[in-house]
Amino acid sequence: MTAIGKPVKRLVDPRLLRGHGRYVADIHRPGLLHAAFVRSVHAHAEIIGVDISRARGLAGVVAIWTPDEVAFSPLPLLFAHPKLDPVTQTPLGHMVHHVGEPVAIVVATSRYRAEDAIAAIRVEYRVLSGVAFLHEALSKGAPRVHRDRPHNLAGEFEQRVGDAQAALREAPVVVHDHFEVGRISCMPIETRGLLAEWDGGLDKHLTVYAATQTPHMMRHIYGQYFGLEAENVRVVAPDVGGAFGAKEPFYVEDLVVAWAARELSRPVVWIEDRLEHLSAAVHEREQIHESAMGLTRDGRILAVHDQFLAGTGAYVPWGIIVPIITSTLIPGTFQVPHYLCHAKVAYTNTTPLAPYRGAGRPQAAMVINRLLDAAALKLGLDPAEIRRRNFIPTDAFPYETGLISREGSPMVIDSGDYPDLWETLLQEGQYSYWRQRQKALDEDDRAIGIGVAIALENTGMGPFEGAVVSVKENGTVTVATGAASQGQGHETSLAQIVADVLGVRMDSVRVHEGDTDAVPLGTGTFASRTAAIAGSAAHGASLLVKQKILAMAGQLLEASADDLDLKDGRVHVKGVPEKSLTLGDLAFMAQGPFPGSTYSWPIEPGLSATHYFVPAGAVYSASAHLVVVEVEKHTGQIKILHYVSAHDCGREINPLIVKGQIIGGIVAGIGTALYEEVLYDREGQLLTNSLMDYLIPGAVEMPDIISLSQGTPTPLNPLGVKGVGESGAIPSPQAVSAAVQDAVRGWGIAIRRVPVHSQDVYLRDPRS
Amino acid sequence: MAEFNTKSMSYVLRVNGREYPVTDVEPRMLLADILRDTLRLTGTHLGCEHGVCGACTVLVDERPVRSCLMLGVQARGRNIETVEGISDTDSLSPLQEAFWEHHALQCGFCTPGVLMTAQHFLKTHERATRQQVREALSGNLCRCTGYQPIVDAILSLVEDASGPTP
Repeated sequence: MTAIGKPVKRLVDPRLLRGHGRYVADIHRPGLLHAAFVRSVHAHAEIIGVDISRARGLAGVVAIWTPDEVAFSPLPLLFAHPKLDPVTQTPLGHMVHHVGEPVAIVVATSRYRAEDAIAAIRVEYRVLSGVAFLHEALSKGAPRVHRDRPHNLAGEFEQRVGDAQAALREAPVVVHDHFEVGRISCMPIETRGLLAEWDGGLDKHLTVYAATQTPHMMRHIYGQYFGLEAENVRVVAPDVGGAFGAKEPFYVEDLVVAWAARELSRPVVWIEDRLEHLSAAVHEREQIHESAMGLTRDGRILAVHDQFLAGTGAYVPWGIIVPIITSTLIPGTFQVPHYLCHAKVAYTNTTPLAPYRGAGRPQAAMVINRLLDAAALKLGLDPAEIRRRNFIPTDAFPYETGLISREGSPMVIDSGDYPDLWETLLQEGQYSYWRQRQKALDEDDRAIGIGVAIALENTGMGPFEGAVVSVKENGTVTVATGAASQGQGHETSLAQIVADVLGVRMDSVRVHEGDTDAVPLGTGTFASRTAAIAGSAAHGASLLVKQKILAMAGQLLEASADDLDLKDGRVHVKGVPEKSLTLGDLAFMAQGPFPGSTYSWPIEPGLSATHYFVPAGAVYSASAHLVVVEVEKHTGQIKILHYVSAHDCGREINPLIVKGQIIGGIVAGIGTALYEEVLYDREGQLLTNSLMDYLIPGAVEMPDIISLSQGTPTPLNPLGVKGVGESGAIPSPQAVSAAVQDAVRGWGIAIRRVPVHSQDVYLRDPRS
Repeated sequence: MAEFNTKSMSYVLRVNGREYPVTDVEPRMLLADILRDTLRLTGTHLGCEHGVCGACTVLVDERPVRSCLMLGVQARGRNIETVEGISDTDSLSPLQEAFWEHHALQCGFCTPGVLMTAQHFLKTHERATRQQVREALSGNLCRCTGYQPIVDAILSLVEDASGPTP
């Protein structure tokens, strides 16, 4: 083993640094047409008519389709759940249920011409009442989001361990909490987009280049819609400019653009603009929680009861997975003997919600950590100490939580060492030092606050991922996998794994991903799963190839497999380096001798193997954050002075990439805590239409972050790897808002909502 | 509805030291679209088309410019530099090497704009503090890296005037 565990520079970078990336908007085709969408300006309306008479005659306009000309069936339900009453979007239907929903499509010779046509189209709406605010969605008499449904409840479910209500009644100490999390946009810097082209030969064939996290899922849905066999649909995710969840669901545009390309027998591209991204690409977070915790007088948790309301917007593009994840992760790294969580999911006339980096986990981390902070305050305990008293003990793994996981099976935490993770954070993060300095640093015009939080993260979910590893005649090793990269550097991490098993240099390994033609089955990249699942598949396939190499080389070199070694692209007899063969030569020979002769190798033809890794269950990462903030008393300006993260993602394949994921995730979490929020008015008009209204973290206001690793390997995959892609984003909103709360507690301000803004925390009476 | 002048026009743009004929394009076409779609220099990316994200940043007469807020025709007679011009094909520039070394890019989409901003910063600063580098990056949004490795990469190429960290 040489490459795994090293901070290897990424293989993809030189290409991207030269401006030679190939994102979907960079792909050109002869005769390419450009699509643009007319979008609803109302949150709930019936489309009475669409006047395209002026638009039709404009230069460059090739086709316009409105609800009067097309009849699509609703999008398929992804991630069904028995407690879910699903409504999925009907492409270009006569009813619209949120601002930004597509109403009509224009295809023209350029995007400019397509948008000219859009400006010339007149849509006549019959505006209906609707509901935009989550807290009003389930009120008596609330307008209905969907006219054909009796109410706005999308689903309701419970998680239960023991009897939390009884335990709360008997608990000597009880704390209560109420808080809300605002609505967040995923906001990759590359928006969504796709290019679709049909080959009109004997066999109709569809090729789609899409900025997607889930190419195989797209292929499957296209196959169903268009009645095509899987081999007649190819979906390619080229370079993808970030995703964070936005590119995980299947959208109306994905279908309609491919359909238009078929109708016109021309390639068609659509690239989302930023306004469209804010109004039509999925959002997340939005939840309202009421919770209570019962404890002993020495601060040991007896019970937690949480009731929450989660928004799903107008549809359910990814089931109700986000609130399910929240409900399973509230106990987190703590022993909670009695637990009850009751969740309601409501429709509103707003953009649909689906996983964004973190996916329900930051909300769960807020519930438990806020309750523990409240309990510590009530009991006069330090927030660091009360957590110490409640961690799942290190000798308790595998730990049966008694909960039902998102997969529907009992939730068992595979591994971890939370007390050690916590002490690492507190010591390296200089917690005592900052607590001591806190009072000294408080000045007349500002206050210092310290926040801590710890969170559990289920990663590496199923169902599976596959890898095909092949040695080529020139000694190059190719790895094909169903995962798709949006910046996570899979091409490097997977190459490290394969290089180690086969004893080849990393730069002779080529990783192909994001192409449904590269590997027959695939799942995709989401839920921090690729290193653990695709990594394990690549590892397994490499081992199979290694066996073939040893069998063939054993015959050729007249040695047993035990006496052979793989190194520097060669297989040689141990201690006799001159008795060796290159892997390229073996690959050439494994293709078989001259046609007509007899194949005599002890392996199947081809130095190649396929392996699908099917995880037994999720693997659980953990991360703990310590934040120090300064709040200016009369302006409420919040400045982060100190940020430390300690995380456990098992064995790290590439510490450089891991650290990059952690810091990037934390900055996203700081955005959730302090800046970002998609806002609607009561009529469902989107108020945050641009990056001037929707604020994402910039370089100036972000701190330098210290990232510490712990690393308890999971027994559930051969590499010991747990996911890390979302980790940074999970405890951060809570750690930051807790630090702000700590700072302003003395001013009588209670923070019950993130994002927390300056206008929420300045001291209103300047005389005090 | 505003009526646009769609009558086409032709002009010449000087990009990365080379003259490119731009023929039969509408005058309303943005510099970014001319670079990407007409000249096929797709290294310059469009992230917001309203001048906030900075992915489309190019240098015009050595100054950073949002190519989504400038018409192609306005760049006539000016010196335009894009990411494709940073280094020759054989080797990476010190700036590109520093980005590679520090893992200062993930998805790579904002990277061309960040590099052009950094090019300008390095030309105008021999010494800098971390905060100055952060201020210089205020016009470039990145959703992947958290900025820290970008700051590290740029700072590795100037004399660090930050002083010791407390």
